[in-house]
Amino acid sequence: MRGSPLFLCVFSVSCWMNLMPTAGDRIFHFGACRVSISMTEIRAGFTAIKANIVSICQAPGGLGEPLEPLWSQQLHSSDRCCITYQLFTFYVDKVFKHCRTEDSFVNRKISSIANSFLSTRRKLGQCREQNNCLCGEESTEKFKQILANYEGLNVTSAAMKSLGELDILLDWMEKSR
Amino acid sequence: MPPELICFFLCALSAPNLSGGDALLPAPQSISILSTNMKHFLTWSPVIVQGETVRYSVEFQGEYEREYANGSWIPISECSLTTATVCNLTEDISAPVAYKLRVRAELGATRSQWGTTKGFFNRAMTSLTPPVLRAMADGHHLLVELADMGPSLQFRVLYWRKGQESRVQQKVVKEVSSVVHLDTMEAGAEYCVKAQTHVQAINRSSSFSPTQCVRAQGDTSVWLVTALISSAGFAVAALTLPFLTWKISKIFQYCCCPAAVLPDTLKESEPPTQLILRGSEEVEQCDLKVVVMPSEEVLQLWIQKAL
Repeated sequence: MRGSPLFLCVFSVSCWMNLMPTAGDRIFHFGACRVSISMTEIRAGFTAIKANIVSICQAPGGLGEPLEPLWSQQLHSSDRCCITYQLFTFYVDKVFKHCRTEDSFVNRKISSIANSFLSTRRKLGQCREQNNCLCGEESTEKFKQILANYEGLNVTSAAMKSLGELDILLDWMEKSR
Repeated sequence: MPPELICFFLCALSAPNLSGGDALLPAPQSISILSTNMKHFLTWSPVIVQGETVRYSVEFQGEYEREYANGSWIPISECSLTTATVCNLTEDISAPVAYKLRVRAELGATRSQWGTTKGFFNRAMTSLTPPVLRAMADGHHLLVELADMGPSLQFRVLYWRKGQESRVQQKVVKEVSSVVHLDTMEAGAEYCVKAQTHVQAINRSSSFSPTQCVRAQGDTSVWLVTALISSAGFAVAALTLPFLTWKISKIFQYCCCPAAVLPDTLKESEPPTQLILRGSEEVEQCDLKVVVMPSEEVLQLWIQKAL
């Protein structure tokens, strides 16, 4: 039959497409609170600048280390929401503003990530208002450690280091979703 | 008027000229953002200086820069000192926040003041156009070809059998690969397709494209093909059957009643009648009729002769 090869081709292409990650927003459920986060855009921005950031920040150790025991745990949705909110706030309030490089391209990508984080933080704030975003004792304690470690470092290097660790946060968010 | 006051007025009037010659080069006017299908462009009307090439530089500011980074502006390197009066903002307006854009003219060391967009621009304000599509029937498969409109756009394709508008089916096409399979069609039926562009990130859709209908390969054509093939078959059969019959009869004839050819030696040149005639003389000579009479008859004959 004349049409069979064409049909097979179309069919296989559509199968292949289903395996590809979908572009756009991802919906995160924090209890009753639903937040759509443009993970693809944040990831794309981060991937574009990761190599540049790694070469900038040479300081050893990870700032997110205190949170590491939590990454592998099954957390309550409220705890997950709280950690996400706290980390997004941390990045918006303390990190991005000190991440200025000589490279205009890197600065533009950082702006893109910062603006995405700002809009996401705002959405997570709505979950907080609905009391779906309360931190447990453990995560509150861990978070205090992160802030203490951060304040102890030089502002710019601490900011760039935190930016370099952004993918740990993104990986955890997608894994625990 | 006191001299201090005169000086103040003079200073105030000359101040703009001292700070970079702003008055010499006017700022670009008619600054606007053209945004279609999530592709954003800044345009402005050119600043004309006779005999000179004016260059332009564009900067953007997101909500983050306004609220957390002291209202800083970020230059777009592709649109720094450009002679074009359009700048592609698609890569930079990537977050769902309100952006401001500004552009200034530059001529040598002289720079104009910044001309800033009126109001804010959010990517959700983009205008969405319906997709360009082509419905196709490939045998019994309903296919649709969609023109690529960029990575962040999806298509919501609606299709239905004509006359069954209440049973509309939907397929969301996330990535365009020229041709997409929609459904298997019933033979001979007409199917219709229309589609709209959808952007998940801003949760908005365009209006629908004009409806396109195609007819599936129908029963009539199948019947026609069958009829053609069978009539051709009959014609072939009509030609071959007599030949086959003749051939088979020939074979049978050969098997059962073979046409034996006499060797030449067996063939007689004289006609067989002579043979028979000659033979008959000899046979008649040899086979003389001997009548054996019974003894009573011989006795009777002898008595008759004696009498």
